Amino acid sequence: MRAGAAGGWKDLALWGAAALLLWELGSWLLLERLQVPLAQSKLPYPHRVAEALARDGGKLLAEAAATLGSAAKGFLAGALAGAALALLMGASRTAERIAAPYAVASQMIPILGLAPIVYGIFRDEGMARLLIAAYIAFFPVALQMLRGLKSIRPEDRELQRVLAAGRWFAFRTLLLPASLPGLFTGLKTAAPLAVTGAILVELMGARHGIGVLMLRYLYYGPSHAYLFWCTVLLSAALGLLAYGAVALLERLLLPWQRSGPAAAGKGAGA
Amino acid sequence: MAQNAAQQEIVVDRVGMDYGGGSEPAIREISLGIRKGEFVSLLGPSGCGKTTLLRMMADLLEPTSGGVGIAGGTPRQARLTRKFGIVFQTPALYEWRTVRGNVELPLELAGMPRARRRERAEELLELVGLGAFAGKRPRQLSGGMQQRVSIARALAADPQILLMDEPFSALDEFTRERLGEELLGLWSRTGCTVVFVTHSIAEAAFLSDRVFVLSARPGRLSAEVEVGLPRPRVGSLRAEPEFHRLTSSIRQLFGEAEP
Repeated sequence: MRAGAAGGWKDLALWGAAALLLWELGSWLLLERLQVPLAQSKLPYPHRVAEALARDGGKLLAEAAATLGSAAKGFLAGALAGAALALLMGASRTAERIAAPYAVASQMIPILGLAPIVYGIFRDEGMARLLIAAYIAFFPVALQMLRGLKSIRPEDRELQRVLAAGRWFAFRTLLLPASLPGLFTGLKTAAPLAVTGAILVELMGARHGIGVLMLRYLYYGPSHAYLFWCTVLLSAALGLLAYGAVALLERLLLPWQRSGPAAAGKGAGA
Repeated sequence: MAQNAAQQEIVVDRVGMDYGGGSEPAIREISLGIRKGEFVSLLGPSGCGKTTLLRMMADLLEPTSGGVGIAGGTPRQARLTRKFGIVFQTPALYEWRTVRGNVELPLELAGMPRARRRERAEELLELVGLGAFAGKRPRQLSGGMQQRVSIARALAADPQILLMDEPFSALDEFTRERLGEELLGLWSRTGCTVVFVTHSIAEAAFLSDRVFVLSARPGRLSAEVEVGLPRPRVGSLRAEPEFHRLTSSIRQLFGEAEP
């Protein structure tokens, strides 16, 4: 397993280097050979982007931290709400029948439209970011966790019945642990989405956050192309970081997911 | 049947199971008695209602007519006072628990302190030959080993009755025969009453004191076979002529039962 992981990193580094080289080459083609107008806005030299990042890194990171902070809070709130709803729907058919259509319908509202409404109500960018991030995170968490609960084998439930176990015991020893893999599948989907959601709110008007800078540099035009690309790449990095953090937590909390031969085939994302 | 109810551990009294909808009843009027400490099999083809009958004893199903008495009460009372353990067709182990943790589950419910629980679980695992695997996860074990863990779990809280629903049917022939022999060892040590559901004639004959032969559509009791083979029984018994005579006579019962 260790050797495999090391091989994975080596592959990743190799592919990354190849991609950078191609990027550099493409950028040069556009700028010097094809002489496309605004070539550096379309595909800037990666080394120039890196330079910009090195120069303005501190400021960019500070804004990124603001984004990540509210995304994380919103993600937590959304995940808690989603998990609670999943447990409720898992425990009661009636609750599921009532809540499921609304949970699905909630996903039909475009965030682009919802964000200004939420902002208009609270007049607070931090709160708006948090709420939108929570709103986006909530659904995949509820959906996947409910799926986990529903996939409990009937004999696993019957065992609890034969043992004359109480509700709390069954919850603690069966329902909760059985729902965790689903919960983490949902969390891994939700974490990067919460980041994008927070950035989206920033695009609509905020004072802080990586999205604010992104919009500003976009307006400034070609002179700030490198910085603009920095913000885009940083946003992607935030999403990756969010995903990675959840995946790491999953590995720590769900050791049984990895053990044995069966884990190899099911180790998606792990 | 009522007069000798004293030695009877399980009494099935004119039990029927009708799912309605105009179809034939799944079970029609089955009556049988199982003595304390006896090892009996419910043997029959699929659809004969043998699993249904076992599930009624375990209070996982209720008959639509007739009644089941178990351990001197109703199945519900027996379940709530944890008079029986159960082994399903699948091991039904919780994969988030270690092997030991799975065996400890009934002990946790019984409120046994942690240290004693652990000790007892390891003792049971030793008994089923898995002492070295206590700390492993269920999916690291083979199917036969998993089913052994399931048996250890069923025996953990020292039940007086063990209900087994085709526990070895998913295993290969060799594992299946070995586990059968081990089960007999466990049974003689614990002295509990065992009800064993199977569709294998040889398995039923090898293990049981008595075999209840069920036939299908509708499920009913078609014969009751007393197995006179001496105990303790070992694997070589399967090659004995008397064993073959017994299994072929049971097989003939099925021939008569089929239309």
